[in-house]
Amino acid sequence: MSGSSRRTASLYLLLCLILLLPQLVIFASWLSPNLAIWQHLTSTVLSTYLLNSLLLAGGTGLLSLLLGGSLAYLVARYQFYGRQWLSWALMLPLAMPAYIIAYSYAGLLDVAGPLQSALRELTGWRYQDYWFPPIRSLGGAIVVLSLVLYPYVYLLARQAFSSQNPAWQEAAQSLGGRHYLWRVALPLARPALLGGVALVMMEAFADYGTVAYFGVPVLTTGIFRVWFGMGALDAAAQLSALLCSLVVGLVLLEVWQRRQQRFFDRSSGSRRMPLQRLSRRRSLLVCCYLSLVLTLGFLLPAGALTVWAISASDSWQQLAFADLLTNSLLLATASAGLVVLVALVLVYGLRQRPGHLLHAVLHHLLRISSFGYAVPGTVIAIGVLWPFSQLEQAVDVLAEQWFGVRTGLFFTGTVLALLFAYLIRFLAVAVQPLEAALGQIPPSMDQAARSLGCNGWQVWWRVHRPLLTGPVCIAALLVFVDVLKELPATLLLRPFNFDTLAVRTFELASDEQLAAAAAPALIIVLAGILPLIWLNHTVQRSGHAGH
Amino acid sequence: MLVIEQLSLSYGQHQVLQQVSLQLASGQIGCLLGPSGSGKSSLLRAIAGFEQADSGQISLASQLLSAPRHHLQPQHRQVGMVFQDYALFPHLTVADNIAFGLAGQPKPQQQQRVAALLQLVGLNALANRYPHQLSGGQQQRVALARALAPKPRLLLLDEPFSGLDADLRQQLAADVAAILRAEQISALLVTHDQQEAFVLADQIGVLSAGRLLQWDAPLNLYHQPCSAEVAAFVGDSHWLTAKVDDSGVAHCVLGSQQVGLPQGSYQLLLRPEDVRHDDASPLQAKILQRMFCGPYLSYQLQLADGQQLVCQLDSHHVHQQGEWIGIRPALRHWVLFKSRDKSCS
Repeated sequence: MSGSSRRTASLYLLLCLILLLPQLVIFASWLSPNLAIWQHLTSTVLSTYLLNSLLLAGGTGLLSLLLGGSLAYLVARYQFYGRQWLSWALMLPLAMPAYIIAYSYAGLLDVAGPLQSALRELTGWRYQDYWFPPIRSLGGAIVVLSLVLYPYVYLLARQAFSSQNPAWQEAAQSLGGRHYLWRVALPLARPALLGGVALVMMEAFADYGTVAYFGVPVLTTGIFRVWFGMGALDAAAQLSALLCSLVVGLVLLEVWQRRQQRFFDRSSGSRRMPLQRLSRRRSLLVCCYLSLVLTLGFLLPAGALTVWAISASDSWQQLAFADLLTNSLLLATASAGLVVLVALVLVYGLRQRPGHLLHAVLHHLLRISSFGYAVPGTVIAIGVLWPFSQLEQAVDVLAEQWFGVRTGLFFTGTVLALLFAYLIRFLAVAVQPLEAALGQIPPSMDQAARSLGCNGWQVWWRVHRPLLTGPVCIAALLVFVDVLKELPATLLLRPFNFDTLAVRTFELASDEQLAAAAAPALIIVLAGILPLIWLNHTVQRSGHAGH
Repeated sequence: MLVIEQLSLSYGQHQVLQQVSLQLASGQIGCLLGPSGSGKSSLLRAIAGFEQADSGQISLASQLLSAPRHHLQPQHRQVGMVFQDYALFPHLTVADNIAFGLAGQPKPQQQQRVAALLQLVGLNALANRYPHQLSGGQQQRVALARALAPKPRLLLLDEPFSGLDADLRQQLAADVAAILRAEQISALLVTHDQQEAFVLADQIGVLSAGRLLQWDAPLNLYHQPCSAEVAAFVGDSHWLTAKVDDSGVAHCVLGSQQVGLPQGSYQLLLRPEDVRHDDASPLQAKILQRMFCGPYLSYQLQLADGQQLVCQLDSHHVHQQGEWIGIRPALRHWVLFKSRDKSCS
């Protein structure tokens, strides 16, 4: 290996270490467990946290599987009223952060909400005269999370169902088999379905806003309590490690299922499954079912937000709206820039031919580094906070001794810590489109440019740059929107008095100022629709290419 | 003139080229034949400058391109390349793809050259299309035009027709040969299709396991292969046992011939056209199998002593399986190899 490539490799190694630092710190925290707090935790709330987290993830996974799977099968197989439009619109709940739908439903279904008020008016009952399903409960959290997370299962399963070779169905028919759904379609779509469920469960484990708002004690809220309530950062890190291990299990499941998927996809031909026509009644029924899910997952909460936002338009001034918006936009733009830049560096590292051992090791490290998306925001925040606050203290002490200057919280007290956490959390979001784009540029294209007189820099400028511009914009947009929506890491790491749309929405909602929270929430939801439009565009394009 | 001397190349432990030497006169077309993994593409890539040789040297028109501790960067070699996957730039139109290597020249001059090349490859009407809007054959022509545009001193083509239909292949191969001769550019082409090599090339090289077995004109390669391996790889080959006596005369079932080789037992190379059908001939062979091949019938024959050979008859001349027919040898020259050994006659 030449000197320069060894230098590049060591720079990449350093980058990997930086990107893996929070996760390493989290797991390393178990080297010196905080026994006092753990004794307290195990004797009181730990089993509740763990059980609730598992129930929440399991319940949300199951309900999302039922919703997403059934919707996907109907859309992929049948022709019915509004199919074209609904098949896209069913992705809309993805734009709705869980903490926003949670407080929308709380506003609608609580004792003082419009539904129960109407019920009381209609029947003349009074409060406590009747039973109404409590939304602020574990069950409520499962339902609300499923309503916004089912699209993960829906998208993957729809792709799996609609790419199934029609010859399989014909073969099943010619063999006299009925039960095509149970004996062929479902087993073949199993990897996609389980992969989707794994993603949903990861999100459910990571959720903080919904459970915090509903007052359900789970691991994420427990981490907040241990840190804010007991000030024990090490115990918070140890609790994070527990949560992280659960998620790692799911990541492995998802990766494994994706391999299986590749195996199943191989035999699919270029023919598309023809859509089956339904009778008028059934067509209407299917249309109603899909519309109901869409209404519950998006239209109803979004409508409620709109009504509240308008009704509270006089309170906008109080919000310091301009500040919120500026903070959020600046933060999202800066992170998008940083994340895309690092993602580009990383993706070019992955493109190297893995010839030498160091390159092979590097390749795996870079892959692992981009798994940050699976790690809950809370965990990453603790993983950033802990090592850097210790570093800051050390630097502060040294600087005062030597120079008589106090450096203070130069990292965790500023947006730097926040940017770093976003980098780790959303790197995978940017890596994916960029890696796909770079994969479209075969080495022969570089060589063609070389043989036509370009040096290395010119190859990049004249061939790579124009081909990567589109994907870079898309990667930046995806990260931008994700940062705008992010809640737990922002809550933990934001500098004092630094508010964003997401943080303010959550705080106002927690203070029961639902109407005031509606306007910033609505902006986040609208921004969330942007990537869906792009997603729809690419899905359609790849659909056409398949014909 | 391209001169390659004792070129060796390895990827890590794996030796891909061993002591390859060849010369290609300017204006000539050379072809590299060989099974996959024989090092054909690696040789091309070493000439283009994408791989750095371990030892040996490459020079073009008396300029040293590559030698130990000397590696001229690809962009400074003036060697064009047409890639197997064409590697057209997807974000540029046909015209812009062709103009890619003309950067730095004045605009009018560029336009003139692009127009001339579009004319040459017959794609005038498609100048403003993008690569994905073209058929495979059209993309191939654009790739050729793009490589030719900066007037390279040598053009390298890596399996340029492999992705195309058989009909289109032949047509394009003939077109490419005509264009290369019109532009008077030397070219070296990698292929695994012998017919293509025979049609296009002035010189053909046969590579096997990183060694250049023979570098010769197509006619010589076919009729006077220098080893049994080359003979087996190029064209159809069948073998009869032959004995050479102490006076240098070879004897086999087909007859005798002065060959001037040392005494011993040999294998005689037979091409299908070396055996003719003749009802009057006393030499008889039994038909084992008959295959209809369109213009001719191919008969697999067995001689009385059990040796097998192949004879081609015109396609109306039908005999039945198991019949005995007369054959007569029509060898212009006897090519003999010591059993599992190489030597030319």
